[in-house]
Amino acid sequence: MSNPISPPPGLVNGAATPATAAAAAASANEQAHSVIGINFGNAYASIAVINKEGRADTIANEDGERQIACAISFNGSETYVGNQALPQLVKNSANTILGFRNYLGKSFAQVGEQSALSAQLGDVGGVPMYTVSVAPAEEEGEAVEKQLSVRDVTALFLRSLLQSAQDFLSHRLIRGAVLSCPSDWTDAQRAALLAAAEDAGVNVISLLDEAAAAVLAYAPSSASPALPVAADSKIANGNGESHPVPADRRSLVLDIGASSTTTTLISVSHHSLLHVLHRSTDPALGGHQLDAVLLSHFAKEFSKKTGTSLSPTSTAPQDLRALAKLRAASEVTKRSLSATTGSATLDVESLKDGLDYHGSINALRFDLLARGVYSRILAHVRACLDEAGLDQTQVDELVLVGGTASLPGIADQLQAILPDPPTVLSNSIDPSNVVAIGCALQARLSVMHAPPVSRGSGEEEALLRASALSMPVGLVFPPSKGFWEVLKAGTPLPARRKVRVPVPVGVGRVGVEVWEGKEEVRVESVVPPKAERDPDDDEEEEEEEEEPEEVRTLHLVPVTQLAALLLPVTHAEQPEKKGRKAKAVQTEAEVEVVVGLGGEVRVRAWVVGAHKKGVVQVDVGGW
Amino acid sequence: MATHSVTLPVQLQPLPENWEASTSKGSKLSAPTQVTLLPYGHEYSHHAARIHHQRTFEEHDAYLSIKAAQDLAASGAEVEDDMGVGEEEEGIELLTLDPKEWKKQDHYKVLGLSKYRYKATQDQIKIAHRKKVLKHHPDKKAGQAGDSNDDAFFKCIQKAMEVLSNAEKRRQFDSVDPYYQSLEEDELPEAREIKSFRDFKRAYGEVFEREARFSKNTPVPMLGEENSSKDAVEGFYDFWYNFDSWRSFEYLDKEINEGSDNRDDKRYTEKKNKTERARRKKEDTARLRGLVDAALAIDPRIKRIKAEEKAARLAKKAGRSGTPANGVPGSAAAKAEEEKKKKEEEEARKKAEEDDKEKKKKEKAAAANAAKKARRAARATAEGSGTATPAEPA
Repeated sequence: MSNPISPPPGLVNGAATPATAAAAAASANEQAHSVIGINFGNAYASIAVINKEGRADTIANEDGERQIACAISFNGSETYVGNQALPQLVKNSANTILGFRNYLGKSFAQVGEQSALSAQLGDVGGVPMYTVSVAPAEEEGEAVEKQLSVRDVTALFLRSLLQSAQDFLSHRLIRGAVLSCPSDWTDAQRAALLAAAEDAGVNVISLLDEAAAAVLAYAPSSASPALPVAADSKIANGNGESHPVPADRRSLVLDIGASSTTTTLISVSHHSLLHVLHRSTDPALGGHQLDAVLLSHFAKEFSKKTGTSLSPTSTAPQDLRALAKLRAASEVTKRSLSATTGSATLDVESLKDGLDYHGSINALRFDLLARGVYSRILAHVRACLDEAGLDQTQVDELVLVGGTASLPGIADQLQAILPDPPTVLSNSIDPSNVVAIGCALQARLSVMHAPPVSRGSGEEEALLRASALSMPVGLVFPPSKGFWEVLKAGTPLPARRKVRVPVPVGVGRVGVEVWEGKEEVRVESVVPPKAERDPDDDEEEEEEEEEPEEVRTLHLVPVTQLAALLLPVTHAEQPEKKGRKAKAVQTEAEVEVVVGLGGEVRVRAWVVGAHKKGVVQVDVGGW
Repeated sequence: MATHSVTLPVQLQPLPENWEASTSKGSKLSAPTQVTLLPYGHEYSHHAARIHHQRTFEEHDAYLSIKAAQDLAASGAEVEDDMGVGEEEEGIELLTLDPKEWKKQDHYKVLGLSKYRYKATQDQIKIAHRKKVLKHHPDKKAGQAGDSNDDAFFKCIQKAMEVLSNAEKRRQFDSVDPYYQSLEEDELPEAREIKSFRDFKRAYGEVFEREARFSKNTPVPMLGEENSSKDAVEGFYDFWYNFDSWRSFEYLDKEINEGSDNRDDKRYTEKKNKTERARRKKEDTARLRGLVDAALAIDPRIKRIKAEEKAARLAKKAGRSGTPANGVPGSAAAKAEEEKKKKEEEEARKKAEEDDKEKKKKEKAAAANAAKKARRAARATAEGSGTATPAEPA
């Protein structure tokens, strides 16, 4: 950008002849379309591919489902995988396996409490095993007991996902996949997942942290992943929508799964250089709680309407079956509630004692019922912020992940602590697809523009342990005292940022001071302005005392001056033209701040368009 | 790392006079925090590449730009030849064109061919149109956020294609291409500003190249060089004084109101359009003539040729009087003589032709007289016989 540069090392031997380069580009393109991203959740999985336009998109399996239930059911000689296995829960729950992902890589002692609704894990020498009865396919023989490990079940399921993806991609060879996995998984769990994937014939490129996948799904990607993307431009994200968040930000990723909720605070530099600031998981909070709320509501309604009692906690065999039916229906109702703001219906035929049930619920009523769960989610987010030592105003973006997170009520509740603005709410990609899309984008990146460091090597480990700025660095343009943040606290080093400043006509010298600053949260009590009252109004209203409202604002203040420089600016003149006098044109100054690995700061400034002539530079030594 | 920069919304105030870039010595950044990066994302790839290859930011930028150029070259080999149509920037003004005002739009710009204009081949127009349609088809926009049912620009594209793909319509549009019309309005430098042939060529070279596109006859002679021969220069002006232009102005016609039943209206508009066309054409011819006049008046070569001729005449004179003039090249004298000879020959020929014509005229007149006489005689006999023949007017 600035100095004439000799060819950098690594390019000389990397330079390819046009012909081979063309072949390489073609094959890279080919490869980008033969990798997939799999969001492997505990309850649901989804698959994303890179489509013809180069965007990542989730695909439907052969049943037309984008959200594929992680369920396998054995019924006689039939094996059902995915959403087809769910109805089996009603009559054949002992042979239906659900929620197996979280047991991967665990010994029986670690399994803990199991859901009573589906097949149980048994202890076989410390290894958890499912026992299901399977009939031989050929002849009508006796059903045989069969033992399946969690790894077997996972492999079976992943193979069906791979098959769906292959069918969608017209049987193209799938070269690799990026799988999501919870960030708090141990090495043993990751190894078990990789082993199961290998059994299923999936070539895993890498395992991707779920929260990171969500952030990457929103990261702008240029047509050629090798090229950097503009920091300021609102480039379309993986789904083609513009995403107006700053390139450097703190994101709070709220992942509400079926059975657990995870809040992750991530520092994002330039859209896609990530490190986790804090993470906390509530393993007993999630979509199932909301299902339970709906279930008990409809069970009560049913009892009231028909006079036949149905208790959500009953354990009588006929009630269990009714509840299984109602639970499945409630989940569907919940999903339709998250898609609309109106009301949703629930229909169950022959719920209990041959009685049908038809009910409906509107969004308002549902939000009331779900208030308890909502407030637990809010408390969870608050607790995570407290543990991280961050104020809610210091969060720039809120990313919603998981089907439950698409409930409009949840977004509304979160506005109370993370209002938009200043915190940007990122939910333009369907929260149930966002992880799969992030995985697919990462898969493409891995084949087209992989980092030059091999995975798991010592060099990578060293690379991942990075120094980051502890305080923000910014600019002050005297005589004003305003602090303009250029590098956010938490930016990994080395880092470079450039900013432009419009220089109006009449300003011939621009002073630039470089300061280290700090983030300050100011809390003010503001009494809301009293609304003008009609004098005719009753007196009783005046008794109400307006509650002072707490207003928190984030301020950036300069603390230590590091350096200063003076940039003389000459305004270009528009050439004299007929009838018009020569006129000076407003120009722009560009300031570049580079912080090296050792903490040394280099600041350079120039006038845009003429920077080759007059670059003003100042350096500050390192630590 | 992105090389683009964010523009800060700063309102800069003039710096106080006494402000100095004082650097407080010894102030440093606070100690860093240790973080663990996640090995995912574009920016991580760049970060890793920089550290792995020990490149500075500038070196990495350079590497990326070279790599991008290579990729482009590589992918360029892949995509089919687009005959140099390429991509053109589409400003907001272009995209918000009103298809109802299609007569005012610049069809070449709409199709992204503004660098070719009348030079664009039909193949190029086809390719450009296909490209634009792929990009702006309403079906393509349906899924996108924002203005969904906005197919105005698509209509503009179709209109542009309709005009440019039809040879007759295209000729009419080319005649009044707004890009060249604005150029035509630019004033040419005045005579006193032109001091050398280079100035002259700079001022008029482009103008004649531009005007040449209207010529029915090709090739069209261009200004040529400073030392072009007399024949070339004269040929040039001769051609341009007798310029045969295909330029016409139907494109600017007023719409004839087709819906109206009143044919008088229609005829009136038609007539008006016709006279308007004729007037414009006349104006254009006058404009071109003025241009050639101006060029001829300033052309430094004319002066040179005249000077040479004069010198040649002098030399000839000197040659006749027996004393060869000093410094006058013999060839010039010979040339002048030759020219004179030519002229005489020409005159002789012309005279002969004229004589010829006169002769013919006389013959014609004689023949006519004879015919008249014969008719009269015939009439006289007819009258005599008393048959009713229409009386011949006196």
